[in-house]
Amino acid sequence: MRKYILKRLLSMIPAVFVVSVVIFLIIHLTPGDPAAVMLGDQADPEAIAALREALGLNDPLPVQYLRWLGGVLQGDLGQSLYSDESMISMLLSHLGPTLSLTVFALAISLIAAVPLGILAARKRGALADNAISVFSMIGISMPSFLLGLLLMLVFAVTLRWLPAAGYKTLAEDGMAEHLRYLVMPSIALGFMEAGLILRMTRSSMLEVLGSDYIRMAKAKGEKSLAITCKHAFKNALIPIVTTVGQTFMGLLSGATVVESIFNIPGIGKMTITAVQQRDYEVVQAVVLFVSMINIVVCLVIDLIYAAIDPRVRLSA
Amino acid sequence: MEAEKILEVKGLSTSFRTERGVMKAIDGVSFHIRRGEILGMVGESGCGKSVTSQSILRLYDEKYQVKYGGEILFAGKDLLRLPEKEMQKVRGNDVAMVFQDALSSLNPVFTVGHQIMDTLRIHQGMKKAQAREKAVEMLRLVGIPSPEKRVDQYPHELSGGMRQRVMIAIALACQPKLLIADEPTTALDVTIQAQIMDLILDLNRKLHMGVMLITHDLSVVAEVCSRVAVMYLGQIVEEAGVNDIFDNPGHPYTRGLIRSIPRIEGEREKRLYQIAGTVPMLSQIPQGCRFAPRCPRATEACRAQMPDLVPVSGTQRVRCWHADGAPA
Repeated sequence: MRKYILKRLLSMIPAVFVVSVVIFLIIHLTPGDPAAVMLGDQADPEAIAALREALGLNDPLPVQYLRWLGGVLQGDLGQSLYSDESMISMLLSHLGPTLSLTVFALAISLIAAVPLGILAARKRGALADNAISVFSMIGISMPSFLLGLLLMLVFAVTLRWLPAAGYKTLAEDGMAEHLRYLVMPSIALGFMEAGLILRMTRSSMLEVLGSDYIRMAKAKGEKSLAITCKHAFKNALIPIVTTVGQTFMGLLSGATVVESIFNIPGIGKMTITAVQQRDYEVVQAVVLFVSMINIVVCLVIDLIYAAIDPRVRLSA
Repeated sequence: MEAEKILEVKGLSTSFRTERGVMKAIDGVSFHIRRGEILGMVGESGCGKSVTSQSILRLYDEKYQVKYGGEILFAGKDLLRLPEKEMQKVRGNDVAMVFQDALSSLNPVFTVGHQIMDTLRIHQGMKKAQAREKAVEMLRLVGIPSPEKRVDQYPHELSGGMRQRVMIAIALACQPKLLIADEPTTALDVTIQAQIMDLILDLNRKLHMGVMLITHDLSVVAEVCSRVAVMYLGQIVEEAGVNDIFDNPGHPYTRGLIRSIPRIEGEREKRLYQIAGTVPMLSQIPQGCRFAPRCPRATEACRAQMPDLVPVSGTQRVRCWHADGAPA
């Protein structure tokens, strides 16, 4: 197992390298001159040329890349055009709300989807199965912004149970308040993921329940519940974990929309503001940062695979 | 004196609900197994051997899939009338089963030790440490070298023969009174086949359990079984002591099966014998004798009415209108 983890960690290095090159190129090959943008429409050409020289924009691209990479490795992700705050502290201060939102959304969708998926598989063809299928279809086809607005309309505007928008931090306002503000955005964000995870759980469980080792477990005298929860579920987990990994990426991008609707000061909101202001350095830093999160999530998923399935460890 | 009957199946039928309607996979199957006896059950693929064996343990999903009929008497109780909870106490404890493909029948994400311990913990309420010790002992009993090491390995780390031994270890962990072995050697090399059959034979003598051996390999039957039941299309067509079956087969189907065995001694026929045609689908069961369309001796009477399984001599019973001893 230790060998597998080490191997998996080493394989991250090329991935990180490729991602950094791509991000660098996207920003530097897109039309538009950052110097011109920084100085505005009325700037005279000499000043722009001077700024280009000062920013090192006239050096060959590989030199620029290495300089940027050197900075990134030392924790220097560049400088926002509109804020004096360091990029790292900007990212970290926006990371909290996004992390809270995505983790809470994922938790809600897992708690709802996995038991329902198992139930649907056990009762295949019965009324419960059909009802659950309808539920998951609605989940998959309902966009998060629509669900967000509907939730707001019902629970904030009509019933006045929950705040319509905003964000309260865990540290300053306590858990109860934190969750009160997060419930609706998390449901809006997690509903689609719940639908996807539910369908995957059901089909994965159905496949496993039809396998020879389940018949064997029954022949050994196992109770029906133990067969489902122990013998079958552990085997069904691999595709479910894969789906969870993929949906986590979806959650991060979906958070951009949901944060805008519910006015949550997260990474997504920060990105949209930066794009609107043409704040290239911030966009670059955010994209790099989110890519790193994705790479780490992939690593975690792979490690979970290895923990579940001994055959994965062997083939490493 | 003959040993007591531990299993008596009377008129067992198993019907599956399918999209094309209800299919009766086996129909009116009756046989018995005595303590310490090995009953061979033979027939082509699709003739209902496995369905019979899995019906005994009621492994099919009764809510959606299957409907049973008849009686399965085990230790005085009718298994088909037992509530599911009682049935769970029978499975793996009194009646255990070994399946054909050990790789797919062992759970890939648990160690083999864990899978043996399962049975012990379910039926004997053993604690973990105790069950583990017993699991090592079982692995040693079925002839797996260095069992202390193997007990913590996963199925994919073992060879095919060893996996089948593990299956047998799981089945025998609680010392069942009856072992159902469903083609236990089909997926194995010939040399390993012999080892596994020797193992089953050895344990059958040591533990004095009844064995129902399902196979399509008649040479295995000749070697280990005391009695044989021949199945065709969901029915038993002949049942007899192993010597009668080979020396004096009563049913044309049995004769066909025996003639199909390749022989080493004597002059070789140009081609191996084969029974004409194939086993029909369950939806196309012929009227009258089910074997009639493939039978060289079939007459109008055969096609019109189904014969019963009737005694012809001693313990031999045959389901054929022409079962008067004259070979075809």
